[in-house]
Amino acid sequence: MNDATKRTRIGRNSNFATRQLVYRTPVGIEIDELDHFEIVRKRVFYDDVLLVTYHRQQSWGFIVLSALVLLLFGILAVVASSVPPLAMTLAAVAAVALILGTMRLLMQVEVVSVFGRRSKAAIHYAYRKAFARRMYNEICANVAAAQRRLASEIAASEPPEERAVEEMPPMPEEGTAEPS
Amino acid sequence: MEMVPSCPNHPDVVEGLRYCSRCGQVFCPDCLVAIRGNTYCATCKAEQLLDLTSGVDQFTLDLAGIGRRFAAYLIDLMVLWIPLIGIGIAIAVAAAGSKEFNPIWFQPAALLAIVLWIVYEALMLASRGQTLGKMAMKIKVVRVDGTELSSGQAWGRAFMRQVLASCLSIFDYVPAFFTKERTCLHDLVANTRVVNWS
Amino acid sequence: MAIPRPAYVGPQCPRCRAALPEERLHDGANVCLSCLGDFEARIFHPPQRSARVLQLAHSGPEGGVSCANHARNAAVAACDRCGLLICSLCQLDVEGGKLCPSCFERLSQEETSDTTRTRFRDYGSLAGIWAIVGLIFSALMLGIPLGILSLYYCAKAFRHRESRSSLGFVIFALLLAILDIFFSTSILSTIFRHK
Repeated sequence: MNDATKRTRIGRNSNFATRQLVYRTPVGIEIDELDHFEIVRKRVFYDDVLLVTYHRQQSWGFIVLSALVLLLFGILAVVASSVPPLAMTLAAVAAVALILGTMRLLMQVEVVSVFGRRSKAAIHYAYRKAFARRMYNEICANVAAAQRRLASEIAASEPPEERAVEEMPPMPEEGTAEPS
Repeated sequence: MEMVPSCPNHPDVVEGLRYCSRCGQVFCPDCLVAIRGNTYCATCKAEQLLDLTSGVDQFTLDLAGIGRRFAAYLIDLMVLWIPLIGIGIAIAVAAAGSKEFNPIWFQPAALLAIVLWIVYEALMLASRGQTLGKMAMKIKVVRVDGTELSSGQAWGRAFMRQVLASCLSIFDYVPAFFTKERTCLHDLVANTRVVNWS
Repeated sequence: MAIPRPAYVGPQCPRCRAALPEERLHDGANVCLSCLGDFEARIFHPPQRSARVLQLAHSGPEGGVSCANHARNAAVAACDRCGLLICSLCQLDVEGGKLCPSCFERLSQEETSDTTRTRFRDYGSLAGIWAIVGLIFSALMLGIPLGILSLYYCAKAFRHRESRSSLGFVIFALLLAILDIFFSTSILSTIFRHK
């Protein structure tokens, strides 16, 4: 629990089976998967990232769900039409479902995916399109910066070794040669 | 002349060699480090550490969440209700047809339901470790070490589950909420675990 | 023994999750061959870290100090927690610093190390669930024990910041738990008053 692990929430990836919250930390992307009893955390380190993608897709689960709610509450509203207040409430719920479903159908959902060597992350954005694009750019920039930093670190610690191996032929007194 | 195995880094060491748990090569004790009960060589140690911190450690079970297991149970229930409702309707039709109707006619249906559950679960778990509900929720029943179930375990687990559920009702499932490995009583008895399998 | 699991082995199509061969990928617009879906991509080539770890210091304790665990390896660092001198093989870099294998083991078992802990009890959700169950059963006087249990989990959720998903839900659970206890005590007192 140190301040170095400051993380900001950047989105969600929830579907019927799972609920995932996605965070951004100074070293990578963190995915918390919640199931009411435990939080399982996975990470994709910036040093490990191979691919970052951005695409738009339809979220059929949400649309089917809102269609079902619309149907159910619509039928209930018709059935209860003799009791106006109840019918109005039911119709209001059905209307909300209709509006949300249509909005989702028209707007679709933007998905930013991050693929690492050993783990992956995906973030769904339904309404914040500009934010999604910004996140995509920022994540790409962070990954590029982190990998550039790592490459320079490796290069800084490597050359003395390589030069030593080049200049000095393997001599037994020096010690065991490094197998590569 | 046979090759005596030696450490790749220290060719003079031929005793006390051990395997790296990831790459399977033999190394001398000076080239291996022990992390969480397994030994790793230099290259694999870095990879293992990255795996651990990324949450994708290949040496620990990826236990399935309780919500998913419950959803899988509901799906299995719905799948099994179809034949059971069919049988129930058949009995009801037969009962409506005859003059004397004894509710005891439904008893064999209850027994048949239990037998059907056992057979369904055992056969599906023995063949692929998943029932239809578990396939839909992408979870699987495996042994404690992560390998596939044997048929004996599958039948034992299915049978004990029905026995325990009939005797203890929900208390068969309660330990799953409190144990670290999320084992129901029938999991404990059969030495199985339920993991994610997507 | 490694546990067989459906391994994620590399970049996949973000739509259909089919494996993407490297030669077909390029920066910018791409099309997946399996699902014919389009996506925008940015490719990276992370440098290999393994080159660094291979520097197992040779030349034993002739010139320098040897590692505490490996007699033939020279010590290159000291463990941040116990000060043990360790070679680059024993050196385990976690976010807090460098650790020797035994400290690493102890920290991960005590579950205080943030980097290696990947499973947490979700105290917030547990508090909420017990509060709701307590509310449902508050008529049976179960509101008191369940309310107290919920408060206990709320306290744990406040203390362990990483084990809760949303602060709002914990506060909601807190209020609900107080409501539970209030309900049950009022029911109890009415019963005793009538006796």
